[in-house]
Amino acid sequence: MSKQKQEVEWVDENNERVDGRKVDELRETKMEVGVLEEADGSAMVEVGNTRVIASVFGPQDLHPAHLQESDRAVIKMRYNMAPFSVDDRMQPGPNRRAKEIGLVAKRALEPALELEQFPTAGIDISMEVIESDGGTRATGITAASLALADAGMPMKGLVSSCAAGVVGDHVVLDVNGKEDKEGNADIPIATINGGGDVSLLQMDGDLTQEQVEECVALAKEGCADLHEQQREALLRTYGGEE
Amino acid sequence: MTRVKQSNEIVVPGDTIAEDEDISIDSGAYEEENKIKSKHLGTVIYSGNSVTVRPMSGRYIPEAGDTIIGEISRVSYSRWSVDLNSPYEGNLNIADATDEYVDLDEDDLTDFYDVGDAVVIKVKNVTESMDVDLTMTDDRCKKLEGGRIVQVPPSKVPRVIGKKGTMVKQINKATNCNIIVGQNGLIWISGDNANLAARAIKKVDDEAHIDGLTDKMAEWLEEQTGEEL
Amino acid sequence: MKLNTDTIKEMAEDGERLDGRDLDEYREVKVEQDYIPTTAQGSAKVSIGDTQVIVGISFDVESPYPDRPNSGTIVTNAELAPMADREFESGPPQEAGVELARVVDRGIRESEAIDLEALCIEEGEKVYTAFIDVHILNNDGNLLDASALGAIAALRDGYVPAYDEEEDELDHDKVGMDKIPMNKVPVTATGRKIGDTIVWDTDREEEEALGARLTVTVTEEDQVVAMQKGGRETMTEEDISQVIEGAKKQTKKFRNLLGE
Repeated sequence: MSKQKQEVEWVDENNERVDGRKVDELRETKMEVGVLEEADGSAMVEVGNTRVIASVFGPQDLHPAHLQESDRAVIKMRYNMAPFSVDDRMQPGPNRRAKEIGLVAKRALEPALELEQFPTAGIDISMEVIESDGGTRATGITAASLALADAGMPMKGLVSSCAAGVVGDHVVLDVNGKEDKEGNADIPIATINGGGDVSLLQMDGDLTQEQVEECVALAKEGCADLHEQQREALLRTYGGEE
Repeated sequence: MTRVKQSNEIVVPGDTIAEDEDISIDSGAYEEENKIKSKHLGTVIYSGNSVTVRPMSGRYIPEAGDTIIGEISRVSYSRWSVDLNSPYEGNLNIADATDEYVDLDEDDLTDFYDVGDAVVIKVKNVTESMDVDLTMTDDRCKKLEGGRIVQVPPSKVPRVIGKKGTMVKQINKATNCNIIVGQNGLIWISGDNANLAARAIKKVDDEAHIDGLTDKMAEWLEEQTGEEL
Repeated sequence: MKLNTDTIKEMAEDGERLDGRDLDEYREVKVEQDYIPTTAQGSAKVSIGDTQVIVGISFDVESPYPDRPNSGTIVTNAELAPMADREFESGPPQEAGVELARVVDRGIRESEAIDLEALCIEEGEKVYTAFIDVHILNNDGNLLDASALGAIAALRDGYVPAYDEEEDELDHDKVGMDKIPMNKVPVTATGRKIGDTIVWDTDREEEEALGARLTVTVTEEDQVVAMQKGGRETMTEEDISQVIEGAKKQTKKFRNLLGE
């Protein structure tokens, strides 16, 4: 790769980012619940050009039996990117990045779920990225949370997730693909019930502690915004009102 | 003392239902910092001094006393395993299956029930580790022949049955079909107009949260059959 | 459930189906092209009743096969995503997934639908490879027809990205060819046998009662370019003729839907 990296103006004099957003603005988000018939619960979430479909099967019989836990249900989490979800086709098949994302996503959702209600059972959660432009794991977690609610799972609250980052020297909310690839840092976060409990936190980049704390605060606000939208999406399915 | 959500309101997990209120929780909700919050996407139901959130959906978890529809999945030496459309399988022992004397060495258990048979069966007992014991010794229990089985989420079963059976009775009348509703959400339909009965049940499932559904369904059934109920 | 399977078989004998459809009646078919606008080079979402599939087209540049030095290549892949069916497990491609991919591939390859020579960049050195990726979202039966229709709809929607010689890679920001070069538009329909009756567009429950199936791919000139028989039971010569005849009729409806 010998392309000369152009200097990108991450935030211009109008305070606009590469896609026209303000530094603390989420991309346009759409959510739809109950998009698949066979699954016990499902949802599709679009954040800008990133689109993820999540599904839930369960609680159900768990095989092989040695994976069962006698006092609670066990979550099996899958994160997968469709080959056509990225510009340079992604070879299908399991890969380590996907496995890791599956694990952190599972940990992001677990604290909100009442798994003790279903001893020995299994819950299969799946996140399929069908179009990717940054923030796929966060979008996946947001969608999976909706799918779990759609499946009737007992939960303490909904889990919402988004990422903050630093591009140039600016702290921004909801990094898109370009900002993620060529910017400084990417910090995805998940919170429960739109509030203070953080169930997912990852970071890669090169930041001061202040910058990190700014990012976390900004991302928490983003999660609170997403939480409102998740509520609306669920109620809309049944013509309910807020 | 405030009820933040009223009866019949739809809530999502984590929504506050009531604050500082002296109510007990029946099911589907939890208490945190003096607030009662919902565990499910469902409907709030106050009943006397207690509150329930009835989930919109969810899989069947067996409870003693339930009459359900299942399918025989395995035949062993002295018992049958039954698929209940649940994360938990059920067991039917010989003593609970028949009054007849059965000689385990001579007789073939498949003479009574074979793999693939659909049955109306009752849940006798459920242990803490989710061992489910079943029995056929209730009048309503029997092997099912012919017809078809459709499915609704278990939480919608009361709607399909209706208050004092009004909903299922009007579907039965309009379609002239035998209908058996299992608590696990499996419903057996048999008769000439089974297709209409199946569609009616699906409609109740889709619109279960709407008020006045019984009357709405009566109208719809009349439209479909061209006859008055 | 076995009770339903038995009833389906009985009803089929009388020409009836559980949902009241005619034996040759398809559920509602919807095609949405350009479903993945920003990352795929062609795409379509197809639903037949509650069955939903997405097909995406992606291009890459590779060296050609030694015995076909001036021909682009096609690779077809199908993912039976676990979200589509409680019975689909995650893991390496199961038989059904591999068969699905190969049946979709055969219809396109054998009809020479894609002008592979037009996809040659430098003879013997560089050619375009077209990847056809089928992604099943929800299985309510007849995945074969939904996937094949999705593949054609995606190809008709797609473009070929430009090849940047200097960088020796695809330039995703530039269009090389406005449309994917195609000679023919093959369309596929599957006739299935329940007992002795031929039934079209079976849903998931009906497929439990399936004895045999025959997938037929037909071009706009009514030429048969690919076939695949599946299922554990046999078919008679009459069955085969009946299905080919039926496929010609059914695929015309699909063609109209695609605006071909």
